[in-house]
Amino acid sequence: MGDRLSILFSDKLRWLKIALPLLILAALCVYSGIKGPELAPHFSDYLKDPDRFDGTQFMVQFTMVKEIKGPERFVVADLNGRRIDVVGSIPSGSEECFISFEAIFKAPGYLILQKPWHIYSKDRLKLYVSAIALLGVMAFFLRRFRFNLRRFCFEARR
Amino acid sequence: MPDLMTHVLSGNLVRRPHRYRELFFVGLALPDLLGRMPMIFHKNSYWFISPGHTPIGVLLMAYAISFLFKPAIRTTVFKNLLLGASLHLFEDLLQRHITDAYYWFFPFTWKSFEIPLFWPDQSIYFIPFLLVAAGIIQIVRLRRKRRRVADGRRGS
Repeated sequence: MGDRLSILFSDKLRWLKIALPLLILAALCVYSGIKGPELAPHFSDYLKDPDRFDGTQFMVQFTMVKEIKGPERFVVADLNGRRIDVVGSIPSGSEECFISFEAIFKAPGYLILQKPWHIYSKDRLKLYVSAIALLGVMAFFLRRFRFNLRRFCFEARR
Repeated sequence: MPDLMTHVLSGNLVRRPHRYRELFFVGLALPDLLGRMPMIFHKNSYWFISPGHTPIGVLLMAYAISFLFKPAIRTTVFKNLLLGASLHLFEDLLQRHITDAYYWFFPFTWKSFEIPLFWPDQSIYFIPFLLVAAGIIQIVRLRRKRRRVADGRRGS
Protein backbone atom coordinates (compact mmCIF):
# COMPACT_ATOMS: atom_id res chain seq x y z
CA MET A 1 0.00 0.00 0.00
CA GLY A 2 2.80 2.35 1.00
CA ASP A 3 4.70 1.55 -2.21
CA ARG A 4 1.64 2.17 -4.33
CA LEU A 5 1.08 5.50 -2.60
CA SER A 6 4.69 6.52 -3.11
CA ILE A 7 4.40 5.73 -6.85
CA LEU A 8 1.22 7.81 -7.04
CA PHE A 9 2.97 10.79 -5.46
CA SER A 10 6.49 10.39 -6.88
CA ASP A 11 8.16 12.83 -9.28
CA LYS A 12 7.99 10.28 -12.10
CA LEU A 13 5.74 11.70 -14.85
CA ARG A 14 5.03 14.67 -12.56
CA TRP A 15 3.58 16.88 -15.28
CA LEU A 16 1.30 14.10 -16.49
CA LYS A 17 0.12 13.54 -12.91
CA ILE A 18 -0.76 17.22 -12.70
CA ALA A 19 -2.25 17.53 -16.18
CA LEU A 20 -4.39 14.37 -16.14
CA PRO A 21 -6.61 15.22 -13.12
CA LEU A 22 -6.92 18.79 -14.39
CA LEU A 23 -8.00 17.54 -17.81
CA ILE A 24 -10.54 15.18 -16.26
CA LEU A 25 -11.86 18.04 -14.12
CA ALA A 26 -12.07 20.31 -17.18
CA ALA A 27 -14.02 17.59 -19.03
CA LEU A 28 -16.40 17.28 -16.07
CA CYS A 29 -16.86 21.07 -16.10
CA VAL A 30 -17.76 21.02 -19.80
CA TYR A 31 -20.20 18.14 -19.22
CA SER A 32 -21.79 20.00 -16.29
CA GLY A 33 -21.90 23.24 -18.28
CA ILE A 34 -23.86 21.51 -21.07
CA LYS A 35 -26.06 19.13 -19.05
CA GLY A 36 -26.71 21.29 -15.98
CA PRO A 37 -28.88 24.02 -17.57
CA GLU A 38 -31.15 21.31 -19.01
CA LEU A 39 -31.99 20.21 -15.47
CA ALA A 40 -33.06 23.68 -14.37
CA PRO A 41 -35.54 25.37 -16.72
CA HIS A 42 -35.32 29.14 -16.79
CA PHE A 43 -38.07 31.73 -17.20
CA SER A 44 -36.22 33.29 -20.14
CA ASP A 45 -36.75 30.00 -22.04
CA TYR A 46 -40.47 30.18 -21.28
CA LEU A 47 -40.70 33.81 -22.37
CA LYS A 48 -39.71 32.77 -25.92
CA ASP A 49 -42.95 30.79 -26.25
CA PRO A 50 -45.27 31.93 -23.41
CA ASP A 51 -48.43 30.16 -24.60
CA ARG A 52 -46.72 26.78 -24.74
CA PHE A 53 -45.45 27.02 -21.17
CA ASP A 54 -48.55 28.68 -19.66
CA GLY A 55 -49.27 27.02 -16.30
CA THR A 56 -45.88 25.31 -15.99
CA GLN A 57 -44.66 24.98 -12.41
CA PHE A 58 -40.91 25.22 -11.85
CA MET A 59 -38.15 26.31 -9.45
CA VAL A 60 -36.67 29.77 -9.86
CA GLN A 61 -33.13 30.33 -8.63
CA PHE A 62 -30.27 32.82 -9.08
CA THR A 63 -32.71 35.69 -9.26
CA MET A 64 -32.59 38.98 -7.42
CA VAL A 65 -35.53 41.03 -6.17
CA LYS A 66 -35.29 44.28 -8.11
CA GLU A 67 -38.42 46.14 -7.21
CA ILE A 68 -41.45 45.71 -4.97
CA LYS A 69 -44.34 47.19 -6.91
CA GLY A 70 -46.97 46.69 -4.25
CA PRO A 71 -48.18 44.30 -1.56
CA GLU A 72 -48.90 41.59 -4.13
CA ARG A 73 -46.39 42.21 -6.92
CA PHE A 74 -42.62 42.40 -7.29
CA VAL A 75 -40.00 42.18 -10.01
CA VAL A 76 -37.06 39.77 -10.13
CA ALA A 77 -34.08 39.74 -12.48
CA ASP A 78 -31.82 36.85 -13.42
CA LEU A 79 -28.01 37.02 -13.54
CA ASN A 80 -28.18 38.45 -17.07
CA GLY A 81 -30.51 41.22 -15.96
CA ARG A 82 -33.64 39.80 -17.65
CA ARG A 83 -36.65 40.87 -15.60
CA ILE A 84 -40.02 39.31 -14.94
CA ASP A 85 -42.99 40.31 -12.80
CA VAL A 86 -44.01 38.01 -9.95
CA VAL A 87 -47.47 37.98 -8.34
CA GLY A 88 -47.09 37.26 -4.65
CA SER A 89 -46.16 38.81 -1.36
CA ILE A 90 -42.65 39.09 0.08
CA PRO A 91 -41.37 41.23 2.99
CA SER A 92 -40.59 44.86 2.20
CA GLY A 93 -36.90 45.73 2.18
CA SER A 94 -36.02 42.63 0.15
CA GLU A 95 -34.77 44.63 -2.82
CA GLU A 96 -31.30 43.59 -4.09
CA CYS A 97 -31.55 40.27 -2.21
CA PHE A 98 -31.35 36.89 -3.93
CA ILE A 99 -34.53 34.82 -3.87
CA SER A 100 -35.31 31.19 -4.69
CA PHE A 101 -38.90 30.13 -5.10
CA GLU A 102 -41.32 27.78 -6.72
CA ALA A 103 -43.47 29.53 -9.33
CA ILE A 104 -46.13 29.01 -11.96
CA PHE A 105 -45.37 30.60 -15.32
CA LYS A 106 -48.32 32.44 -16.86
CA ALA A 107 -48.71 33.87 -20.37
CA PRO A 108 -47.95 36.47 -21.61
CA GLY A 109 -45.00 36.50 -19.24
CA TYR A 110 -45.30 36.69 -15.48
CA LEU A 111 -44.88 34.33 -12.52
CA ILE A 112 -47.13 33.40 -9.62
CA LEU A 113 -45.21 32.91 -6.39
CA GLN A 114 -45.72 29.51 -4.77
CA LYS A 115 -44.39 28.00 -1.57
CA PRO A 116 -41.63 27.29 -0.69
CA TRP A 117 -39.62 30.46 -1.17
CA HIS A 118 -36.60 31.92 0.58
CA ILE A 119 -34.93 35.32 0.47
CA TYR A 120 -31.19 35.25 1.05
CA SER A 121 -31.05 38.48 3.02
CA LYS A 122 -27.55 38.04 4.47
CA ASP A 123 -25.81 37.07 1.22
CA ARG A 124 -23.73 40.23 0.85
CA LEU A 125 -22.53 40.12 4.45
CA LYS A 126 -21.66 36.46 3.90
CA LEU A 127 -19.46 37.45 0.99
CA TYR A 128 -17.50 40.04 3.01
CA VAL A 129 -17.07 37.66 5.94
CA SER A 130 -15.86 34.93 3.56
CA ALA A 131 -13.31 37.30 2.03
CA ILE A 132 -11.85 37.99 5.49
CA ALA A 133 -11.64 34.25 6.20
CA LEU A 134 -9.96 33.63 2.85
CA LEU A 135 -7.34 36.28 3.56
CA GLY A 136 -6.73 34.66 6.96
CA VAL A 137 -6.25 31.21 5.41
CA MET A 138 -3.88 32.65 2.77
CA ALA A 139 -1.82 34.43 5.44
CA PHE A 140 -1.70 31.26 7.58
CA PHE A 141 -0.54 29.23 4.58
CA LEU A 142 2.04 31.74 3.31
CA ARG A 143 3.49 32.13 6.79
CA ARG A 144 4.51 28.46 6.53
CA PHE A 145 5.18 28.01 2.81
CA ARG A 146 6.84 30.05 0.07
CA PHE A 147 6.78 29.36 -3.64
CA ASN A 148 10.07 28.41 -5.30
CA LEU A 149 9.61 29.42 -8.94
CA ARG A 150 12.76 27.58 -10.11
CA ARG A 151 11.57 24.22 -8.71
CA PHE A 152 7.94 25.18 -9.29
CA CYS A 153 6.81 24.03 -5.87
CA PHE A 154 5.97 25.32 -2.41
CA GLU A 155 8.67 24.88 0.20
CA ALA A 156 8.22 25.02 3.95
CA ARG A 157 9.82 28.13 5.47
CA ARG A 158 12.47 27.45 8.08
CA MET B 1 -22.79 27.03 1.29
CA PRO B 2 -22.11 28.42 4.75
CA ASP B 3 -19.70 31.34 4.65
CA LEU B 4 -15.98 30.59 4.65
CA MET B 5 -15.58 32.04 8.15
CA THR B 6 -17.94 29.37 9.53
CA HIS B 7 -16.03 26.67 7.66
CA VAL B 8 -12.63 27.90 8.86
CA LEU B 9 -13.72 28.39 12.47
CA SER B 10 -15.36 24.98 12.61
CA GLY B 11 -12.00 23.57 11.49
CA ASN B 12 -10.66 24.79 14.84
CA LEU B 13 -13.21 22.73 16.73
CA VAL B 14 -12.11 19.35 15.38
CA ARG B 15 -8.87 17.46 15.87
CA ARG B 16 -6.59 18.99 13.25
CA PRO B 17 -3.67 17.21 11.60
CA HIS B 18 -0.35 17.72 13.40
CA ARG B 19 1.87 18.21 10.34
CA TYR B 20 1.22 20.99 7.84
CA ARG B 21 -2.17 21.86 9.29
CA GLU B 22 -2.16 24.94 7.05
CA LEU B 23 -3.18 22.64 4.21
CA PHE B 24 -6.14 21.41 6.27
CA PHE B 25 -7.40 25.01 6.38
CA VAL B 26 -6.74 25.46 2.66
CA GLY B 27 -8.80 22.28 2.20
CA LEU B 28 -11.61 23.83 4.22
CA ALA B 29 -11.77 26.66 1.67
CA LEU B 30 -11.01 24.53 -1.41
CA PRO B 31 -14.55 23.53 -2.53
CA ASP B 32 -15.72 27.16 -2.47
CA LEU B 33 -12.55 28.38 -4.19
CA LEU B 34 -13.16 25.93 -7.02
CA GLY B 35 -16.92 25.74 -7.21
CA ARG B 36 -18.26 29.08 -6.02
CA MET B 37 -15.70 31.90 -6.11
CA PRO B 38 -15.47 32.10 -9.93
CA MET B 39 -19.13 33.18 -9.88
CA ILE B 40 -18.03 36.53 -8.42
CA PHE B 41 -16.14 37.21 -11.66
CA HIS B 42 -18.45 35.41 -14.08
CA LYS B 43 -22.03 35.25 -12.82
CA ASN B 44 -23.24 32.67 -15.32
CA SER B 45 -20.52 30.15 -14.62
CA TYR B 46 -22.51 28.18 -11.99
CA TRP B 47 -23.02 24.99 -13.97
CA PHE B 48 -19.57 25.07 -15.51
CA ILE B 49 -17.75 25.39 -12.17
CA SER B 50 -20.09 23.17 -10.13
CA PRO B 51 -17.89 20.03 -10.44
CA GLY B 52 -15.31 21.89 -8.34
CA HIS B 53 -17.73 21.67 -5.44
CA THR B 54 -18.24 17.90 -5.66
CA PRO B 55 -16.25 15.13 -3.95
CA ILE B 56 -14.76 13.97 -7.28
CA GLY B 57 -13.72 17.53 -8.22
CA VAL B 58 -12.09 18.13 -4.85
CA LEU B 59 -10.30 14.77 -5.04
CA LEU B 60 -8.86 15.52 -8.49
CA MET B 61 -7.81 19.04 -7.52
CA ALA B 62 -6.22 17.96 -4.23
CA TYR B 63 -4.18 15.37 -6.14
CA ALA B 64 -3.00 17.97 -8.68
CA ILE B 65 -2.21 20.54 -5.96
CA SER B 66 -0.14 18.00 -4.01
CA PHE B 67 2.38 18.04 -6.89
CA LEU B 68 3.10 21.69 -6.09
CA PHE B 69 4.92 20.41 -2.99
CA LYS B 70 8.06 18.34 -2.43
CA PRO B 71 7.63 14.55 -2.90
CA ALA B 72 8.34 13.84 0.78
CA ILE B 73 5.25 15.71 1.98
CA ARG B 74 2.85 15.15 -0.94
CA THR B 75 0.79 12.41 0.73
CA THR B 76 0.43 14.60 3.84
CA VAL B 77 -0.59 17.57 1.67
CA PHE B 78 -3.12 15.43 -0.19
CA LYS B 79 -4.59 13.94 3.02
CA ASN B 80 -4.82 17.32 4.76
CA LEU B 81 -6.50 18.96 1.78
CA LEU B 82 -8.99 16.09 1.57
CA LEU B 83 -9.69 16.17 5.32
CA GLY B 84 -10.42 19.89 5.21
CA ALA B 85 -12.54 19.63 2.06
CA SER B 86 -14.48 16.67 3.52
CA LEU B 87 -15.39 18.69 6.60
CA HIS B 88 -16.44 21.56 4.32
CA LEU B 89 -18.69 19.30 2.24
CA PHE B 90 -20.17 17.71 5.37
CA GLU B 91 -21.13 21.15 6.69
CA ASP B 92 -22.68 22.00 3.33
CA LEU B 93 -24.75 18.83 3.60
CA LEU B 94 -26.48 20.32 6.66
CA GLN B 95 -28.07 23.19 4.71
CA ARG B 96 -31.51 23.47 3.24
CA HIS B 97 -32.24 24.66 -0.28
CA ILE B 98 -35.34 25.00 -2.39
CA THR B 99 -33.61 23.67 -5.49
CA ASP B 100 -30.98 20.95 -5.76
CA ALA B 101 -27.70 22.43 -4.65
CA TYR B 102 -25.02 19.79 -4.29
CA TYR B 103 -24.43 16.85 -6.56
CA TRP B 104 -22.59 14.47 -4.24
CA PHE B 105 -22.26 11.61 -6.71
CA PHE B 106 -21.57 13.68 -9.83
CA PRO B 107 -20.93 12.67 -12.62
CA PHE B 108 -22.72 9.37 -11.96
CA THR B 109 -26.01 10.94 -10.95
CA TRP B 110 -27.54 14.41 -10.62
CA LYS B 111 -29.53 13.32 -7.58
CA SER B 112 -29.07 15.60 -4.62
CA PHE B 113 -29.84 15.22 -0.94
CA GLU B 114 -29.22 17.18 2.24
CA ILE B 115 -29.95 17.22 5.97
CA PRO B 116 -31.85 20.51 6.04
CA LEU B 117 -30.94 22.24 9.31
CA PHE B 118 -30.36 25.87 8.24
CA TRP B 119 -30.54 28.17 5.21
CA PRO B 120 -27.16 29.04 3.61
CA ASP B 121 -27.39 32.72 4.55
CA GLN B 122 -28.11 31.89 8.21
CA SER B 123 -24.62 30.48 8.77
CA ILE B 124 -23.30 33.91 9.76
CA TYR B 125 -25.35 33.71 12.97
CA PHE B 126 -23.02 30.89 14.09
CA ILE B 127 -19.87 33.02 13.77
CA PRO B 128 -19.93 34.67 17.25
CA PHE B 129 -20.46 31.27 18.94
CA LEU B 130 -17.80 29.62 16.80
CA LEU B 131 -15.36 32.45 17.58
CA VAL B 132 -15.86 31.97 21.32
CA ALA B 133 -15.60 28.17 21.04
CA ALA B 134 -12.47 28.40 18.87
CA GLY B 135 -10.92 30.86 21.34
CA ILE B 136 -11.60 28.57 24.31
CA ILE B 137 -10.23 25.54 22.47
CA GLN B 138 -7.12 27.50 21.47
CA ILE B 139 -6.48 28.51 25.10
CA VAL B 140 -6.89 24.88 26.24
CA ARG B 141 -4.50 23.72 23.51
CA LEU B 142 -1.90 26.32 24.46
CA ARG B 143 -2.11 25.39 28.15
CA ARG B 144 -1.70 21.70 27.35
CA LYS B 145 1.30 22.49 25.15
CA ARG B 146 2.94 24.58 27.91
CA ARG B 147 2.29 21.84 30.45
CA ARG B 148 3.85 19.26 28.14
CA VAL B 149 6.94 21.47 27.63
CA ALA B 150 7.21 22.05 31.39
CA ASP B 151 6.87 18.29 32.08
CA GLY B 152 9.53 17.59 29.47
CA ARG B 153 11.94 20.04 31.11
CA ARG B 154 11.31 18.53 34.54
CA GLY B 155 11.87 15.04 33.13
CA SER B 156 15.21 15.95 31.57
